[in-house]
Amino acid sequence: MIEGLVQGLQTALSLSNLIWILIGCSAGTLIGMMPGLGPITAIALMIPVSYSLDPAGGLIMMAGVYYGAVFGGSTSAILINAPGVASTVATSFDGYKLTKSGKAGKALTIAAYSSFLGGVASALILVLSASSIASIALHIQSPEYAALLLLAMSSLIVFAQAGARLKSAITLLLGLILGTIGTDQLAGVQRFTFDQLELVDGIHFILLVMATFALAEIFYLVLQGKRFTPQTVGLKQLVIPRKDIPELSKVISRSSVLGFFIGVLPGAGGTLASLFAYDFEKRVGNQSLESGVAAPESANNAACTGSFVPLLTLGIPGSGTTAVLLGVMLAYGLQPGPTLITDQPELFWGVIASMFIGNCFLLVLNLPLIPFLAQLINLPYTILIPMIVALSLLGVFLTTFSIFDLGLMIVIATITTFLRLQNYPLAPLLLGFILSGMFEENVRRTALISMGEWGYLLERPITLFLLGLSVIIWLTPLWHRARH
Amino acid sequence: MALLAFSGIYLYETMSITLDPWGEDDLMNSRTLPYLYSVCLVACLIAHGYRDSAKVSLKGNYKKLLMILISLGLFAYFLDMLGLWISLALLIGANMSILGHKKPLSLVSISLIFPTLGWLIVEKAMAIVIPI
Repeated sequence: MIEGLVQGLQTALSLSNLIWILIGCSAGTLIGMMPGLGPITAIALMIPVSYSLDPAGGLIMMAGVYYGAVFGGSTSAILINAPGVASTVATSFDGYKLTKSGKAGKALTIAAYSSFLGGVASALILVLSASSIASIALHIQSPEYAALLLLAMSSLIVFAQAGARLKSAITLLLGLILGTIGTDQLAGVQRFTFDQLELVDGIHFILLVMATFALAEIFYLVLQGKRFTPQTVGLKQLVIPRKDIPELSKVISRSSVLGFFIGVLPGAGGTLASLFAYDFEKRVGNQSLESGVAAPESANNAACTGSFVPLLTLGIPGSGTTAVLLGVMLAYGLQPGPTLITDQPELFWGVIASMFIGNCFLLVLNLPLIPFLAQLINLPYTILIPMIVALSLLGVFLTTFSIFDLGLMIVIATITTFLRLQNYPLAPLLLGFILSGMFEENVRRTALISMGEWGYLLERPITLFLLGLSVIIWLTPLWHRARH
Repeated sequence: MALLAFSGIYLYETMSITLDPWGEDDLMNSRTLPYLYSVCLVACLIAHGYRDSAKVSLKGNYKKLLMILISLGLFAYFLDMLGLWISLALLIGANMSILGHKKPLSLVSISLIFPTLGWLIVEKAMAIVIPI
């Protein structure tokens, strides 16, 4: 392992590869900052560049693009509440609150450090446990997934803010319902499409994110007549106060481990990791806004690294982004899988070593830019709002190229503005939407495999454990009520 | 009430999903979870309505929001005819004036610069072809 890592570092530290890591991180950050353009788009746009490189250089650059795009996405989530990618949605919850209270610089700095530490910690875990993790991940099948998703939804409702459980349940159900629109992937049946061709593939995730968070936020600001708090970020603010470091270190450590292991699960990825980490910190952590930024940021970067485990060791892409990366590897004539580590050790370990270097580059690149990025929201209200509206529309239109989707976005944004005015939390809506397809697929697959026999679940200890945990979570409020 | 009506319509639509020939006999088919979701939503809404009747309190900025919504509608309507960048320029200009931007020079220049930059980045640098 040490030999492999040394070999990998030699590959990644060659001048040409260092330049490609730098280019990858910069391009990824710039593309990721644009609402609607996420890691998949960033990697897809860089494919032509990667083909001109050797396989190791190309993959190392692509890893940099991936990390850069995830970090770039958190910048727009924190500054203008427009998370361009799903994995930064959780960052916007508390990051944007910090921005509104005049602490945009602090939020961006915490995000930068958390991303860096999450990325480095998870790369270390990957080095130590790549092969053994892949074998565990193979045991996670439909029943375990369904139970895990049920656990996520249960905790979201039960641990919602006091008095908001029912409202959280309602918005979660609305999200699940919106997720059922389109073609049923298991039966090929169209549902709730009303003969509209644009709805056959369902509602696009970016559309829902932009509608509920960016556009609805703007509508709300216009309606309430609120202004953005002017931000001035000096270089001094780029240092996290010493008193916050112990707590943030704990948050980052917990979230990095959690994010990495969720990232390993095929299909889970950064979105689930960041939402889980955020939710976990809100339940067990000190619930500060700073922790609410550090947790999802370290988790989603750690999940990026984790998603490389099934890709490199099994040849199974764990997310849409790694699926594109798999395509790149196949185009190079590489077959990722258990033999990659023995057949192409310099490539395998080179990609892993590039994760360490890429994360260092990202920190060095992004920290000095924070004062300039924070200046963005110092623009007058009459300029900033039209800019955000235009960016939101552009983000959706460049993703779907559909005028129908723009109309749908405006309708959803109007409805969610009214939901927000009635104090409905909107994060469960988004989580429900993300989990809807995954949940239905795994529940139905479990029903199909078990043929309705509940005894089947008794043979699956992980499923039983997760279901038991859900039951305990639902019983927690009753237990609290009984105690008081 | 609007949400309750929505869940009623959703429940009705769930019942009219066309199943494949063997779907009726399946333990879980395309209707099962949507049915479950709508029943749960109705139950939650009834429980919520029973416990709390929400009131929406708005300040006097309805007109601005309505104007912005109209400008967005017009943007979507004219997108096909005017193209993305011209429509975007008009939208930015319209929204700036709705929100009360006082300086005509900056209004015109910003609404021209942003789409021009967008066109340069998206269509020229990234070579994305916009199919309208």
